[in-house]
Amino acid sequence: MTRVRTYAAWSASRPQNAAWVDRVTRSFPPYERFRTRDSQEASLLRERGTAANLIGPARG
Amino acid sequence: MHVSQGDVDLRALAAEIQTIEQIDGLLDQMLEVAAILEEALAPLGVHPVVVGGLALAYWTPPGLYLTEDIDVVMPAIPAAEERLAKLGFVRDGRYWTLPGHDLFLEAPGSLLEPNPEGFDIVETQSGRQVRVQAPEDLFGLRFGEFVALGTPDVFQQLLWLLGSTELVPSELESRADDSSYLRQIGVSRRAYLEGLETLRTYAEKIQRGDKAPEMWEIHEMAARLQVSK
Repeated sequence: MTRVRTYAAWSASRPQNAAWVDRVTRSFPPYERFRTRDSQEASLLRERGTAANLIGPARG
Repeated sequence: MHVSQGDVDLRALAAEIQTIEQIDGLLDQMLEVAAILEEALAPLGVHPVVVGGLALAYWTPPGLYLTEDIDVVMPAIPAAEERLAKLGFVRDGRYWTLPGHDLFLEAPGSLLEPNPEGFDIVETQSGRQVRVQAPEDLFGLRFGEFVALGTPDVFQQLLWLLGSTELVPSELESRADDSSYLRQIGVSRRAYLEGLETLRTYAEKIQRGDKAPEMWEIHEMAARLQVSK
C-alpha cells in the first residue's frame, strides 16, 4: 500500500534525521562524490557554481 | 489568453515556479517544483516520481550535498513535454532548464526501478502532493551501486538511510525474498542480507561515537559482497 507522508510529520521528524545525518557525516572524511555524472549535467552544475566535490567525475 | 488545460491553470503554475526562491531552503523549493510538475501533468495521466539526490535528501534531511538537479521518472510523451514548456522549462539536450533559475530537471527514464510501485506520496509545504521513491527502494538501488563500485559516498548515503526514521527496517528484509528485485539491483540474497547486517553494525558503531570505517575497509566490504553476488 502506498504510504502518504504529511508535511507536518516530515517536519516533525526532520531534527532527528538531521542529527543522524550529521553524526554519520562527521564520522567520515570530507565528502566527495565518486559516482559519475553525465558530462552535460556536470557542466550545468559547474555553471551554477556547484562545488567540484559535489559534482564528481563526468562521463561521456 | 487563458491557458487553462483540463483542470489545471498552467499560467498560474508557471508564475508560481518563477517565484519559487521565495520558499525557504533549496530542498523545499525543489520538492515544490516537482509537486507543481505533478499537478500540471496529472490530467494527462502522467505522475512523475522523484528519484536520485532529491529523493535521498527528502528521506535524509537537511539534504546535505543536494545539487540543483531534479530527477524524475516519467514517460516522455509529447503532451507532457508541451506542458513542461508552458511551465517555463526550456529543453537543453536531455535536460530541462529554467531560465533565470538554478534548478533544472532530468527525466532519465519512464520505469521506476527496482520496484515500479516503490514510491510514497509526500506532501510539500504548500499542501501539494508528489511521488517520491520509497526510502527502502532507494536503499536497494544505492546498495546495488555500492556493491558494484565500492565508493565511500554511496556507503555514507546507505548509513544515512538506515538511520532515517522514515525507513521501515522490516521492509528491507522483505525485499530479500523478492528474487526479481534482487536481480534488478544486481545482488544475491546472501550478499544483500550480509551487507545489510554489516551496514547495521557500522551504524551502531557510529551511534556509539566511533569513526566511520577507513576507505580500504569500505572497498573490502564491497569486494566481499561482489564475491557473494
